[in-house]
Amino acid sequence: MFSISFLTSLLFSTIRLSTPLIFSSMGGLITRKSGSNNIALEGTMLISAMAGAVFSAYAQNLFIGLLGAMMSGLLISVFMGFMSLKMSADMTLTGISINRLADGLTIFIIFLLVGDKGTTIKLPSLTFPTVNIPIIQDIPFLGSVISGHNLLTYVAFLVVVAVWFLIYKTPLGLQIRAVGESEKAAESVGINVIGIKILAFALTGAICSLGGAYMSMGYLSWFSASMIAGRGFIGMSAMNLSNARPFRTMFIAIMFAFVDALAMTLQTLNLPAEPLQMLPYLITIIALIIFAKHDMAREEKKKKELLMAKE
Amino acid sequence: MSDNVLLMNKMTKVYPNGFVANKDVTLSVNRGEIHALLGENGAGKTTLMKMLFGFERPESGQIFIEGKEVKIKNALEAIHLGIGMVHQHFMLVPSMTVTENLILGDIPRGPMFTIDSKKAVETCIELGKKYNMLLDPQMRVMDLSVGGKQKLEILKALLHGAKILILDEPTAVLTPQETGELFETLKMLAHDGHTIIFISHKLDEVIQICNRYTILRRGRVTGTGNIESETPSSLSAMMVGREIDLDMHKQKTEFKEKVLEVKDLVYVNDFNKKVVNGVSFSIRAGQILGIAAVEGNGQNEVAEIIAGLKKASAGQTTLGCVDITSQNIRKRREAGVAYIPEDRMVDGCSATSSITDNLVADRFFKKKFSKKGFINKAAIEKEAEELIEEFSVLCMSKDNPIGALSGGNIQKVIVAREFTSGAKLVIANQPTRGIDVGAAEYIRHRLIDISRESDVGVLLVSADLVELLSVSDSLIVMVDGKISAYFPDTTQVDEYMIGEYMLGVKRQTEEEIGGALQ
Amino acid sequence: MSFTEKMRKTAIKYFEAIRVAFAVFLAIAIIMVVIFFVSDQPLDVLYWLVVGPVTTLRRFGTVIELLIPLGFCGLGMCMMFQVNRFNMSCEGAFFIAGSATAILALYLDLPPIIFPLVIIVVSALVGGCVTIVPAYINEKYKAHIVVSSIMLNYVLLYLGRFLLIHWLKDPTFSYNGTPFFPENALLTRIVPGTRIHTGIFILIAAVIVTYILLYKTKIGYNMRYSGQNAAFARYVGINTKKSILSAQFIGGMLAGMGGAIECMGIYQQLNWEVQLGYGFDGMLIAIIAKNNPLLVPVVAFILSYLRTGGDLVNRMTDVPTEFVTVIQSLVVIFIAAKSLLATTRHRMLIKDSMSGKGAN
Repeated sequence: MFSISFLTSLLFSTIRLSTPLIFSSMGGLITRKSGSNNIALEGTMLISAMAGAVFSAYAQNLFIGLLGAMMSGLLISVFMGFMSLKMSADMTLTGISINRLADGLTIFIIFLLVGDKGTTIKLPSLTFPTVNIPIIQDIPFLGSVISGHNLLTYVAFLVVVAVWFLIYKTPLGLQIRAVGESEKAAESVGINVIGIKILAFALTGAICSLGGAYMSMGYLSWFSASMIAGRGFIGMSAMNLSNARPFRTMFIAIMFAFVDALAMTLQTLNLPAEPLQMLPYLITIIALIIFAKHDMAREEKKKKELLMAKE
Repeated sequence: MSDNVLLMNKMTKVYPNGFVANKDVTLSVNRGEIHALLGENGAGKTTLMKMLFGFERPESGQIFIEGKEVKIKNALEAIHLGIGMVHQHFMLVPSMTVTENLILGDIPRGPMFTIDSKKAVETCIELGKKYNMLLDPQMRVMDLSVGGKQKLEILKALLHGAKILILDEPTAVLTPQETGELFETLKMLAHDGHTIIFISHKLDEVIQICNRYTILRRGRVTGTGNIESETPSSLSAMMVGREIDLDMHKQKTEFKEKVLEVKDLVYVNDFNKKVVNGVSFSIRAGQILGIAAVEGNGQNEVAEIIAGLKKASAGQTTLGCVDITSQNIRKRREAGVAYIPEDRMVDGCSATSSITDNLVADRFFKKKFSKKGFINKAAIEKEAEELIEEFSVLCMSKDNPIGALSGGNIQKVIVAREFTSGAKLVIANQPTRGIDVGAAEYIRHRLIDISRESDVGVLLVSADLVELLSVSDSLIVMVDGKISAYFPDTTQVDEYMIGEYMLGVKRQTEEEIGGALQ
Repeated sequence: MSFTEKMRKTAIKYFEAIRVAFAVFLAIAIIMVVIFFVSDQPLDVLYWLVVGPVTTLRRFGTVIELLIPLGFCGLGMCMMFQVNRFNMSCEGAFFIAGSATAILALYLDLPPIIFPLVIIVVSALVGGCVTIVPAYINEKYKAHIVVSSIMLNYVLLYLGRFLLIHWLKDPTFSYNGTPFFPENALLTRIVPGTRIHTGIFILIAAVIVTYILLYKTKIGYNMRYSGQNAAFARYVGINTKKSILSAQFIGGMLAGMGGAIECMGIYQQLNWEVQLGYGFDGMLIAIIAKNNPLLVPVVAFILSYLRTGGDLVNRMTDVPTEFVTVIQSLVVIFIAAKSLLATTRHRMLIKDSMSGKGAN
């Protein structure tokens, strides 16, 4: 069972499945750094997945498909930012509602367009090409794991570096972090706090929407109403668990993707599907508990040490 | 020296809850002067300055800078107009470095969208040299001393070309040396042509460095003029509306049995700082013990630990002869602890709940008000009516949310609840902060009454020295989480003496301090 | 006092109600504008949405039928919100209660009346045990309650499907469904020509009990104090953790009851393969009802009416029923937006305080 080909396909799917998680976690990371708690990553991805499939099908142009996905993800994210920051709506409530809005809106739109509430399989949507990396693709094992992925998968890994650079190396990143850590401090030097926060929402929307576009224009070649299936939340958890540090977030996202890939690969072995499908969500809950426990233990230890040291 | 730099004309600000924070306030400041903005807590000083700095929008009024009318919609516009503000609570990003904090508003850009960190550091050093306020550019703000943070705040304002510098109670958190240094800096800046607005309620400091003053009381201007022609008592008269007379006419009594004893209390806060460090004292029935300390020296934590809101890291608390160190809040309350918390709106009441619900929050579960788990609404309403009557709480209806009341009346509700819970020990943490004079006086009298008539021990924590001296029988002073002085009889001391201990200029011997634990 | 002043005072007093009405109006208006553009028969949409549910007894029956599960989830979410927690696991509790109901109904045999009651009680406990999981890990480890509860909903979804497909399902059916429940495990239908069942009485009882619990008992006082201001509740000596957890347990119980009642009353078998969305509906209901159980049936009725209308629109016109979901989500967001109309209110307040005695 654990042959090389099994391992290869397992690792290959891990990378494949980590794509949407990396996008959603990187998107969430930016709003988190700006001090907002964006739980609408799920809905943002869903809407952009739908938009990508629809735009690319009607325009028959991959770029317009991508642009459509990104614009709609950006818009919905900015809408959330505007309502919660400018109109002072509770951010959690707004986030939950945006997710629900996305459920309804996507079905509403695809039904109007194709007369089907489940998928857009009837639409001639385009997909992003797969890329074979020269030289690497010829390395045995490694080549078949790393090469041959969808273009957006590679973009995902580039986005990790880009987000890291943005947050830690650029003036905007410095301002985003300042706003996130101390709104008052940022305001006192004349930074437009709400503006920066909404800008962070826009960036989040754009990045998340790449994850959505990947789902409908890479992972599959159509949109399906239940296709995001909690990936926004799992990505968000990966980000929270790493305390919003880009590279750690990426690793945790890959770990979650591994569980997902394992579950999928095992399903091919005639095991019952449901317990395996349950696995990624269960692991997320368990990870939430373990990391929180770990953090608390560390805090306690620090306090105790200080008490001992001074006596 | 008399050309006008800033004129705020007839400013009015109404908060969304209907509170009128400023009414027709006019402030006129000349170039190169240090102008004192005086007033009690809640007089409207901060609101006025927030309008100047663009944090709040006025309902009416005009602002003139060097004779030109301006509209200030946000902090950025204020900064462009040459206004800089050093806030009471520092507005710095703790995890970032001195340089990063300094350049935050105007970041030097390098190639490829990056930050030009070399230039940033240079700016930081140059500025420090220019104004003689040197700071390590790579140090994280959280590791800076309080004085250092304040310097950084001033530098921040100056970097953006501030001509008018507002300092909101800058000395409240400083040591005497740091205060001295700050005053030197301010004088130098004023000499260089900067204009300084100095917000304070410490009259001696104001007389020491300011040229002119404007006094606010309850949102209105009550006086303005040259400092030279005033004395501390004439200024304070304008601040409170009458000469300070806090003779409470309290009678001397014999203290009875010990109600509270704390021994070697230690508390480590969430930032891993030891804010209470080995505090021991005791209180007897009928005694009012005051704690005097500059804000943030552990007095608040001591009160919260005894009340059970915070858990001591080490030490022992005994009520009567019961060890309550590890007991929860309900057990402590049952044993006889009552607490008036420092932050009324967070701990003291539930703003959206009715006055009734707030009054009975500590007793609705008792036999008198409930039967077999069901609440006896009639009994609760009767209790609430009685308490409202007895403590003369001014309200339209007992069913209205408490948040709609004035600060003084909210505090009366809290006092009504805490004083009627049958306590042996009442802890009053800043009981009169920010409330109107009438309510404050009323609460002080009730504090003395309860200790004299019901043999209750009282622990009074207050930032108001006059109040502390006139209400308490004995007094301890805390500095840096430790007791630095103990005065068994407050009639033998005055606020200047206490001030020296509070600021750490003097310290009693261990033996004298040990007297606090009889 | 002049007339306008009086009007102003009234407006300030009932400001919240006005705001809610405005939010609902705004959401519906936005969607209606969209529908006017995309639909060939916009007037039909309006007709079926507004009048459709009362055109036949059968249709009005649907409104009442739907009101029952919505009401239970609304009550459940009231409990969550009364203690100020965004526990979204009512959805999962409702769903998994269906599985519990099916197991009990198919493998247990008790006399009528007692049988459904036993099933309801057990399902309620199952629901409570479900919602307590995210509640507990939130109190104990500060884990994000929205994320963990939604993840839990997925776990329960697959658990329920697993039980259905690999155990409970009747293989002779062409779809995934259990055999129909025996007669003694069903809730009696009470209005001929509709599927309205005795569950409506249980809902009414639940509304009253929840109201009494929250507003008339010590336990309820503890919960409400904990929810309104936890710091204050702690300070007056309330064990806030215990109150917050038990409120969420009861919330889960209510959702669980709803699941069992829906399963026995309407479906009479278990064939749930996807989440039913009642958890979110419950949230909407609780928000509009201001977490007051007595208002829950009223709001649930309005939503249920909209839903039924939406389904009719779906059947009779070219517009899919999901536009109701969109309206619903927008309503929540608009109601939550505190700044909506805030400037108007602020202006009124200033005029009020300037005109005399309002000023402090």
